[in-house]
Amino acid sequence: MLEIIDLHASVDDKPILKGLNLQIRPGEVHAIMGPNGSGKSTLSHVLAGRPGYDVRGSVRFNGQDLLDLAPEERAWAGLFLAFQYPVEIPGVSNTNFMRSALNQVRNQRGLSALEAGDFLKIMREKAALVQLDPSFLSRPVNLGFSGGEKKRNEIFQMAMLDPRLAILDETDSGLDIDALRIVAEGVQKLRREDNSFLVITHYQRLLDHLKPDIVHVLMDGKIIRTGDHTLALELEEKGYDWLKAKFV
Amino acid sequence: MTLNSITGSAQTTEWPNSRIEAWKYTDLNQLVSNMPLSNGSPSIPLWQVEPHDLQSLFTELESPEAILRELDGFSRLVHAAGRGGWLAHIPAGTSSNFPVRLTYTPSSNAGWSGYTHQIQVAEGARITLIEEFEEDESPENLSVKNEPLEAYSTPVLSMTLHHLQVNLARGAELKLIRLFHCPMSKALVHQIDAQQEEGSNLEVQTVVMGSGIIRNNIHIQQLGDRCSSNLLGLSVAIGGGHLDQYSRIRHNALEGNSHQHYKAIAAPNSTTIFNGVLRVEPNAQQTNAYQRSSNLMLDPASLSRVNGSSPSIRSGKVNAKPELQIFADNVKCSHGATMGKLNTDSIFYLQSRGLTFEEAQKILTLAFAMEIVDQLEDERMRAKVISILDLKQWQ
Repeated sequence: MLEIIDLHASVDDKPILKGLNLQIRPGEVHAIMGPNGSGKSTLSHVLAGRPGYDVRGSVRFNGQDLLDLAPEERAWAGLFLAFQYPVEIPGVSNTNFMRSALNQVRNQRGLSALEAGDFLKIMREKAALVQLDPSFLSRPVNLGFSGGEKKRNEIFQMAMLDPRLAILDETDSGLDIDALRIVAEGVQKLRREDNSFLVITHYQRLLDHLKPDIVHVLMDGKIIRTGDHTLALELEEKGYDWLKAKFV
Repeated sequence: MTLNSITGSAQTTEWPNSRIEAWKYTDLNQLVSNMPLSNGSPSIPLWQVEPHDLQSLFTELESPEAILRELDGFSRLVHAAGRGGWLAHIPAGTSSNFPVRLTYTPSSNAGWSGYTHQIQVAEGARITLIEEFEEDESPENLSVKNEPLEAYSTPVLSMTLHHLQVNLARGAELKLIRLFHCPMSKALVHQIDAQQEEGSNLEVQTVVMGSGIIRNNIHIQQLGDRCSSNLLGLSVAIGGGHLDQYSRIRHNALEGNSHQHYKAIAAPNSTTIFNGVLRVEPNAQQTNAYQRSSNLMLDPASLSRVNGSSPSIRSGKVNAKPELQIFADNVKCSHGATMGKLNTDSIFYLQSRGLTFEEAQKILTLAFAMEIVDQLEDERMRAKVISILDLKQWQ
C-alpha cells in the first residue's frame, strides 16, 4: 500500500524529517505518536503534497511514485488527509464542495458522475455515520464550525471519498469524549481489508477505540521504535523521556 | 487630442487624460488617439425598454440641456457628440414593484460615440432601473488566443461613452442595477452625475466584467439633509481586461449617509482599479460614511507548478485608492481596502479532496464574487451574472 524509504523533508533549510522509513499494508491501522515538534504533521503534509517543503527520498503508493504527483492526483490515487486544522471556506457550501470533489474523484477512477438524487442519498448516509447534523451540509465549508464539528466534517469527507489510505492528523485533539467516540466509531465502520489508516495522535484514548495493529514512535524526524498497541500504553504511562534517553 | 479633430466641429473639449488625477489609470485621450476613425454613426436604435407600465415615461432625449448645475469635461464631451439617449421624468407618487429594464445595442461601427441620458425622479417617487451594457466580440478582434494581450495596450476599435444625469427630488428613491460586459479591443465608459435633495435615496449596483476596457464613474452630490447613497460594485477582469471603477460622493448637507462596498477580481494579465473619493463639506455635520474595497489578484496556474511556466503571463494587478477629504468634525467616516491572493491553504485543502488547481481557484474566486452577487436586488441580473462567471476561465 505505502512504502516510505529514507524520507527527508525540510522547510527553509531547516531539516524536519531525517530519514524516515515506514511500510503500511492493506487493511492495517498504524498509529504514529511522538512529542511536539518531532515531525508528525510534516509527515502528513509531505504525503498529501502540501507545497513549501523540500522533499527527498522515496514514497511508493500502490505502485506509483507518490512524490511525483500533484495533491489532487494523490487524492485520485486514493490518499486522504484529515487535517489537524481544517480550513474554513466562506461562500462554498459543503454540499457543492463534496459534489465537485466526489465527481472529480469518480471521473478519475473511471466512474460516471452521480445523479443528484444518488449523491444526496450517499451524502445523508455518510453524514449519519459520523452523526453530522444535516444542516451542516448546506453551510459553508467549516465556517463557524466548532472544533469537534470540523473534525467530524473531515471524517465525513473521508467517508464520501472512500480512500485507500487515510491519514488522520491529530483528529482527536480538541474533541470531547463523546465526539472522540463518534469519530472513532466512524473510522471503525470504514475499516476494510483493502484500506489502511495512519493515525497521528498524542493520546492513548483514540487508540483505545481504534486498536491499531502497529504503533510507531516518531522522534527528531525518524521512527525510533515500532511495536504493537502495548507500546502506546507504555508511552501513556512513562512519557517519551525514557525513549529519548535511550535514543540519545 | 481634442474633440474637433475627430468631428470637425468648432468645439475644443479636452479628452480626460492621465494628467487629471481622477483619470490617472484610464487615459481616454491616449485610447482615442490610437483608435481608427469613426466610419459612420450607429444606424439601429441605441436603447430599448422592455414592455412596462412606465415604458412611455422613457422618451428619446431631443436636446440634452443640463439639468445639473455643473458639468465636467467628460460630460461636455459626451453632450457635444450628441448622438441622443433617453429622458425620463418620473412623476410624484410613482411607485412600481417591477423594475424598468433597459438594454443598449452594441456599437456596430468602429470609432467612438457618446450618449446622454437624463432621469428626474419627482418628490416621493420610487423606481428601479436595470440596465445592461454589453459589447459584442468584434470580428476584427485583435486578440489571438495563444498570445496574451492586455486591453489597455491594445488598440481600441470602438468606444462608447454614456453620461447619465440624475436628479432626485425630496424623498425620491432610485435604484440602478447595471451590468457592463466588454470584450477585448472595445471600451465602455459610463458616468453618472447625481444630485440628491432632502431625504432622497440613491442606490447604484454595478457589475463590470470582461477582457476589454471599462470605466465606470459615479458622482453623487448630497445637497439636501438626510440623504442616503449606497454603492455596490463588482469588477471581474479576465483575459487582459482593464476595469476602472471610480466613485465620488460629496456630502454637502446634514445627517447624510453613504455606504460603498466594491470588490474586484483581477485574473492573470488583467487589471482592476478602484478609486473612491469621499468629500465631507464643513456644513455636512453628522455624516455617516463607509467605504470598503476588497481586491483579489489571481496568479497564473503556471506559478503553482514547477514546469510549464509561461513568462509572458503576469499575475492580476489591482489599484485601490481610497480618498477621504473630511472638513467637518462631527462625522463618522470609515474605510477599508484590502488586497490579496487566494489563500494557498484553501487551495491545498480543496486539491487534497481531488479538485484540480484550476477548479479550486474557480470555486474560491466565485465564492469571493458571490458576496456582492448575492446583494444584487434583481433575480434575473443575479442569474445572468452567475452564468457569465460560471463560464469564465480564471486564467
